[in-house]
Amino acid sequence: MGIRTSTLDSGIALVEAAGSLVGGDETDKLRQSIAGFLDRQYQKLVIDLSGVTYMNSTAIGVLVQGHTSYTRKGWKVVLCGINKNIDSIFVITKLTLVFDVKDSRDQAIKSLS
Amino acid sequence: MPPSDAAASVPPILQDETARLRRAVEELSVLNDLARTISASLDPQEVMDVIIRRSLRAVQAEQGVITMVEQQSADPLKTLVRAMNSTKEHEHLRPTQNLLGWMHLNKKPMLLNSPRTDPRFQGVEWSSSMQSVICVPLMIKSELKGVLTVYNKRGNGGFTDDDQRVLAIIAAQSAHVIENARLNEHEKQFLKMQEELRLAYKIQMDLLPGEAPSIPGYDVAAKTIPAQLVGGDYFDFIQARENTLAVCVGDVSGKGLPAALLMANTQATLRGQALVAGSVTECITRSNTLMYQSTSAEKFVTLFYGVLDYQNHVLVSSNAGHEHPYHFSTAEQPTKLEKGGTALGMLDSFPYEEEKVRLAVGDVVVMFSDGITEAMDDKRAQFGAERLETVIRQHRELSAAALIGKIIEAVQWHSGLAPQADDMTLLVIRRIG
Repeated sequence: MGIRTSTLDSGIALVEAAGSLVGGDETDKLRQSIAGFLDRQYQKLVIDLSGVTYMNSTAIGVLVQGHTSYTRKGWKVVLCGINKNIDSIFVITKLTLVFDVKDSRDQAIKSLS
Repeated sequence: MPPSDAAASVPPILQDETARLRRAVEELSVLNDLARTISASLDPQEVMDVIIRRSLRAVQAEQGVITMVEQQSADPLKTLVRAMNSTKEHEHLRPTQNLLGWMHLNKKPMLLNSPRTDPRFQGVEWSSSMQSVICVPLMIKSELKGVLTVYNKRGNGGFTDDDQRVLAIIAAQSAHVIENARLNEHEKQFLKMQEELRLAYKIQMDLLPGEAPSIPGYDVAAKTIPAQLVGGDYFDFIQARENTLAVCVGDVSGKGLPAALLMANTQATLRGQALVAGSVTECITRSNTLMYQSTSAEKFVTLFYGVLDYQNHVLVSSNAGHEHPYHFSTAEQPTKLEKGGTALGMLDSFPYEEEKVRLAVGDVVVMFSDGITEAMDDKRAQFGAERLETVIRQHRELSAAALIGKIIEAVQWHSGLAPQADDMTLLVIRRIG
């Protein structure tokens, strides 16, 4: 459960989120993880949401903020693992038009290599 | 104590007795003094300050500290609050983990005049400015709530047993007082937060229109049922241009005062743009950019915005990341008004789109917030879009207000005893003539 971060040899940063993201501690951790990678100059970030069971607007806001911070610097962030539990919020908010979204983590990583 | 001339003639046993009584009087007056002073204040910081200052005076010590232990935290020795009082410009001493650990284990007063040679603390490093120390526990029932520590007896010699006794008495009185002060503080903070949320809620509710405007040939109604203290459904009617009525339903991210402010910002921005923008697309595109600039990317508003030309019976709309409204016409299936873009305030600029529908007599357009479709029963099953569609289809002949009533009834029936988690909002437009 929760948020896990790691970095790949290729210099790609990875954030894996799981559980319910509704603006509490986990959402804060997600925000901090993204900000952390930004500070440490990881110019390529993959955010894997396959374990997420529920997201509310606050969590979406965190993703958007992360996306904005990255793209403003010309860096790249890719989302993957948007599963059945959470795809409706992405569809309704039309964020699939905004975010770079791939189905699987492998595809996400490949797209950044 | 150096014997005085007058005292030389008094038998030793009386001297002892006198000294004892004198001490007792002193102790009582310290306690009395303490009780009077701290009963005047319930601020934890002030209370602790007074206790420390009186303690230092009573035992002639240089420095004192009160360390409270946080029972709920995983680490019971964590220092929650510290108050210090030093009468000299010295390094501020505070009880080390060793001292606190001992207190936690033993829960009784401890006097340490030779810290560096005391067998209880062998091998422990003490701060160079520490000469002597007394620690007394602050107990409530049999729980250690904190520790009162004083350092460095003034003058020569270290602390005495009497000193330890006085402090123990002070501590016994103080524990409850400090605890009450802390509880009072917690309660005050809680009430303050409640008040802030209530204010935010009021601000938001005051922004919403009281009733739908009446326009020829149409039956328009709207209703919102707030879930207490959770923000931020927004809806509005804007009569900016002749023969048109702009309607919108939205959902503000976050809650509390920030959400209330964001809602006020949204309403002002949209009303302004509705007046000057040449088209729905322009209105939404500009509003988005304005809102992006005035808030962080994390704050956004999902919004469905439509302009009804009630003379020509056309609805032009743009959906900025909000639930897709239904348009029921004579066709078998309703259509959904999806075209638009992402939520307002998220991105600097976005190429919003609009769509246009013609409304025939009997057509119904239903706008709603996710508090309707996501309403859960106690098994966490959502009400869902399908159920909503079914209810509308069943009751589309009713007046706009009655249809809203039926939908809400259905949602509440579905939710059963489960509490309302989110605001529920519905806005219905029916062409009747």
